[in-house]
Amino acid sequence: MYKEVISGIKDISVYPVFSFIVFFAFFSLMTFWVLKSKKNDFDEISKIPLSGNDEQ
Amino acid sequence: MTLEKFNYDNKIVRNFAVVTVMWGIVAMLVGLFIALQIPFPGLNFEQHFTFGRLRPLHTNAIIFAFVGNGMFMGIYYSLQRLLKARMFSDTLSRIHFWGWQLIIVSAALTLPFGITAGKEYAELEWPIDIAIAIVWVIFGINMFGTIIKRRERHLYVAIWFYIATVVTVAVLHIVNSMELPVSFLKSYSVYAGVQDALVQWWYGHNAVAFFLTTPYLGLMYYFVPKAVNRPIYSYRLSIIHFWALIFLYIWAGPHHLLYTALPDWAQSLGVVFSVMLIAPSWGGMINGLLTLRGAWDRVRDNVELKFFVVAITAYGMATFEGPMLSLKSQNAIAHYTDWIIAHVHIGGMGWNGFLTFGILYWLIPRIYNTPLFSKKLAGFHFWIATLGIMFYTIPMYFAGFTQHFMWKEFTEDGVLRYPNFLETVVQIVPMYKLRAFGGLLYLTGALTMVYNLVKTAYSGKLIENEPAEAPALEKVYVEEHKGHWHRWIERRPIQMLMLSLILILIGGLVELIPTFMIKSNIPTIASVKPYTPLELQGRDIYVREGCYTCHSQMIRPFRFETERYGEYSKPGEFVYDHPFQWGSKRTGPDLQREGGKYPNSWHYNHMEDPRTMSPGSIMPPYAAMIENDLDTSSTAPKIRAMQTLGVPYPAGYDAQANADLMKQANLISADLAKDGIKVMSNKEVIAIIAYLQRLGIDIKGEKLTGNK
Repeated sequence: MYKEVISGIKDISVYPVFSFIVFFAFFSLMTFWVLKSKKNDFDEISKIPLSGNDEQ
Repeated sequence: MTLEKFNYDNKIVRNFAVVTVMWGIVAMLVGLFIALQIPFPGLNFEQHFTFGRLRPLHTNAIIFAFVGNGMFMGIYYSLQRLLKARMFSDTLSRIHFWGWQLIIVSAALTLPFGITAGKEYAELEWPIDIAIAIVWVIFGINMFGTIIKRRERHLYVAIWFYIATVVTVAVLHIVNSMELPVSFLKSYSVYAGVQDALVQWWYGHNAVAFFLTTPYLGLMYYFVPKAVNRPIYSYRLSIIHFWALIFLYIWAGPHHLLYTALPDWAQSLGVVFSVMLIAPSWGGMINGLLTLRGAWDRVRDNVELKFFVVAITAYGMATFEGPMLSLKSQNAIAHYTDWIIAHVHIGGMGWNGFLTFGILYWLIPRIYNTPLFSKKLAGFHFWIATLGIMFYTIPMYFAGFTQHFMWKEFTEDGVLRYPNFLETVVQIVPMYKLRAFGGLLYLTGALTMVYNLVKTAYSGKLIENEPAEAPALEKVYVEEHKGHWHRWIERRPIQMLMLSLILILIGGLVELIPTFMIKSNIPTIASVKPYTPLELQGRDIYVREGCYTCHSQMIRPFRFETERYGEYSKPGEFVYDHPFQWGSKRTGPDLQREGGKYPNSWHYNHMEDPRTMSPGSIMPPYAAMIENDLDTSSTAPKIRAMQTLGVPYPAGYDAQANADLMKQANLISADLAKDGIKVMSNKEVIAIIAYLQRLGIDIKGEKLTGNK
């Protein structure tokens, strides 16, 4: 039954193309934004693991 | 701002550390044993300990027991500290711990008995599958509970990797384990043939991605900066690394099925995404290694850093090799050979193993508040294990190439130079011996670690509850300056979870849904009929014995394969295969067109002792099948289960299935009697012969009926 429902969808082949475009856009935008950001934006966060008193 | 006092739970970390080491040793021992079984088939002396049954035990133990517990150890340690909070609930931690160990024990108690679902790395039967899902959800609740009550606003990059792991493994496990129970310890995959293969490798590949890689990357992002005492090289790179990795990985599964009967578009999709994966993977490797910039001198006298450096390098090697292996031309060579075995062991021994060892050497002295017992011994472990990896992988690469080129060598007259598969096996037996030696070195190293860590633990005292203090999170967050956009999501774990889930679901669904439209993607073949009851029982024996660990049932459309095995495989041939049994490795020849190749008596003798029919064969003997009666009480429920799954047996067929079964069995035993072999028709060997003789004969002399 499930199979019939899905195979009834018209032009299902555009779905992969569509999602590829969506993801590619997401990926490119993310890369763009990250590259645009300044390095010291994250200084504080990247030191989170170093806090604590478990030095030997 | 008042400081809140609380304790980190180190006991749960210690417990996970103990089982990581313990199961790790067991898994490696089993690995060494099965590595020896290949060159010395005499070691298959007992039915429960044949290669086909133990190999799943080895893979499951390494993945879920060694790496799984190692992951939990690292997560429980780092999560508490990154969030400045004790784990959400000690009770949930304990349920998680004991539940997971129970699952491992039940795996060890079922796999040697041939209780298996017959899908690689997902062999465990349905009751255990349910237990895995429950325990995993408990782990997830415990983790999210901790995140909710955290005292650190921002979620450090390691935690995103943990979140993605929890979410994705749950989805993968549930989708791939959809099975219809036949009895308490037997089930059939609800998917058949091509769909089952696609779901399985979507799972299988992402088990590598989200069980062996993402959690360990999270651990890398915590423990490497910790061990060198400086922040990660580039936090911005880690953002790209994370999102790109989880986004790309979920699509890459079909590269395990190149040149198979999987529809071409799915194969191409898998290749494209696999090749793109090299970017985030290497981004991650570079990020890890460059964290050591300016501190490389510390690697000299710091054993955990040695392990980390080799682990990250192995990660880089494996993730360079992976995309290359996804290219069709490259894959044609590597698939079915020992090259793949070498590849996964670079990942397993190098990346997962060494990162785990490094973390153990770093962590145990700290939670026991004492220096490591012997740095020298740890250094010895490092070198012997590195040597072990080399002795393991180099012979396997060599064996892979050798065998592939022997498979495809033709003489000037255009016939196969090595028509007998066995010749190509005998050639690489020395390589198998060297590989086992490599495994022995690696295991030796691990044993010295056990001694070292135990001595360390005894010289100190476990700080069960480590005191800490941190200010509570203020309810309202006021941003001091306009921060980076990504910091928005770093404060919002639930949104992070949803976004990760959406990312992997879209990738997963787009890949899977179209394949479920059988009608357009799988041309049906009119002559392909369901298995007879006897063949079905025989097939279940095939699954039980783990024959798929050494034999494929998938002939690729290459001349050297069709020449050797016969017509290449068509998607429509597998529509009644619950589960599919395409296999992924040819230690023995492909069996898809085995039907009718040899007389029944050949199979009988070959099962009793393979070396009487094929001198030099390394296959385990299955004489027990001649002794054992076939359990025909399961026939009717099996037929009914198959009917539920859509296999077109006539209505009410379950009632007469056993009569048909006996009729066919009598024919086979009568035929065997003609060759002077006296065997009762109710023995298991009759069923397996019936199944093997059926393999691939349906389409002989028939044509595809096309897309209808």
